[in-house]
Amino acid sequence: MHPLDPQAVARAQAGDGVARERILTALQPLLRGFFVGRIGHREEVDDLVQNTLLRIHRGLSDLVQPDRLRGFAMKAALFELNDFYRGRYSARETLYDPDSPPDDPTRPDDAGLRMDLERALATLSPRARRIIELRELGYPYLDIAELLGTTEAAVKMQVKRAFERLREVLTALLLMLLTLPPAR
Amino acid sequence: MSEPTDPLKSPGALAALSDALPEEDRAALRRALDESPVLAEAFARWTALRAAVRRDLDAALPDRGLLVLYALADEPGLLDAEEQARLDAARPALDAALAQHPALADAVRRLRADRDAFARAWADHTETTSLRRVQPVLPERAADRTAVRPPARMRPVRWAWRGAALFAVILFVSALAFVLQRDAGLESVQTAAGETRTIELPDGSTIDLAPASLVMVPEAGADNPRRARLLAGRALFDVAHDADVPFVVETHNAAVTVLGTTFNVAVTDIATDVVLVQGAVTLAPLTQPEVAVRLAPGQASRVLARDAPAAPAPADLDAALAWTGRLFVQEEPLGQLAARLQARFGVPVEVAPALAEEAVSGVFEAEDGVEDVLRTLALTLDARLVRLPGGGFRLEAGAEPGDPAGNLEEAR
Repeated sequence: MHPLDPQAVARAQAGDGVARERILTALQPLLRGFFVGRIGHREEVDDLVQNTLLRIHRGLSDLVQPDRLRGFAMKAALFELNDFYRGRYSARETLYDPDSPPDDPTRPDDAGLRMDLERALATLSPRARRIIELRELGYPYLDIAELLGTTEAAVKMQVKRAFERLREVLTALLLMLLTLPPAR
Repeated sequence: MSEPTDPLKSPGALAALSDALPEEDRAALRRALDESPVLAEAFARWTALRAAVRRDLDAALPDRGLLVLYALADEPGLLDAEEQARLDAARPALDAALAQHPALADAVRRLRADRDAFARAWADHTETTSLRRVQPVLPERAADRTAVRPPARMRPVRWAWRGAALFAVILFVSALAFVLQRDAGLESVQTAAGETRTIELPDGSTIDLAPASLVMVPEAGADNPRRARLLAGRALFDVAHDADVPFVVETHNAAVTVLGTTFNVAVTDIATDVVLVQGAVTLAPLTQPEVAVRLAPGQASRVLARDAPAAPAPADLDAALAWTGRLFVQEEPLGQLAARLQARFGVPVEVAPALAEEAVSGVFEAEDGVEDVLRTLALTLDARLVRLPGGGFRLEAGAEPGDPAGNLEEAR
């Protein structure tokens, strides 16, 4: 009997530890091949495989239909991959805490200089925002390019232009503040 | 300062792409930010902007798992009833989020591509893989292999581990060890909670299997009877010595090659710990046999994940072997053993100076109690066992004439 056959699954669900072990053993190379195919030969693949097997191990008893193991394992793998993209496998390092950007002590504390977020977001083109959203969903620039049918360099140039646009608006604001007559 | 020719290496590009920079570019960005307050200001706004984008996405789709269910829902049978109900309840909000954020629709496309890739991997695996058939282990067959070992008693002094032809291995692994499919010629034996078994191997070796454990052992007539794999739980291997064919015990990440010895191995999800009691073993990661270390008696080592083994260091034999209920002693000075017994049983144990350096070996059943152990030691050393007035025991040199060694005396 193949370890992934419904009968084997039913035996594992009934408490047959050997059948369970064989299911997990059979799934291991399959999952490894899948994850390598999706994210490449990265060190996180080992953790993705193990955590997916853990999901399957924990949830196997709740699988109502033993002939649905494929879908069950697929969901476990996709949820784990989703967690990977969300950054669960590697803490994302930022130069600044995005929620509290550092104050520049040399900069005048002028409320007018503090660009509100709505205005900043308005500087983004729909395509730039889409790219940034995909990036915030965790996808690498290369994958974003594939999704958008373009090249990685083109995607990055879009992001760069978005940043430059923001900088231009910021500079314009600064100039405007400098040329305004002082308030009476 | 001249602008780099690569537009994606300019300070602005580095700031814009700061979330995906190699370390040297991050250093360049830090320098640029230090040099330009205007750039730093723009970068701070940019970072806040991206955080706002993320918050908008999180607000539109608080449960990212729903996106997975949404992507899979168009293939019948993939979602169970509970998942379908969860998706149905969230669908209005999900539809609104998808309409508002085109990136979410992109993510759905990506998830469906992931789904299709998994389906292909599954089909490839199940159609092309010829998995070895493993003889199922029926409970009655496993029971046939089980023999009750008589209680171990003290062997004669300078007892030689059953003629130096045997060694013991103890393995401990987590309940979820994933191993490669290398089980041809092996069969499984497992124990339920609270159950222990002794398994006799074709080569004369035996394995004491702890509760809730699973071990793969050679089938009768197997081509290679000198191997075993512990998949879960713990086991004490007592392996017949064969100078020509080493016995190999595998765990999920390591291999212990037995050179004729007594040793203990403890394995968790990520590590294999080996404690050597007597003789010699080598320990190596499965993937790097060339980095094996050789242990001396009383030493321990560890293979963490796929790393090289740790340098051998002194081991706590009592802690490593406590689960067996036995006390293993190997060529140990009596004075030192007395200290172990005192720590193990919580009663004072003294040894006359004339006996302190006497080396003893043996296996004791801890449940027999310290008095029984000491009485046996007295017998084998031709010594006297004396009960101390305030509690505890003392071994004195030389049995009284006419008084058989090992008889308990009251201290005078």
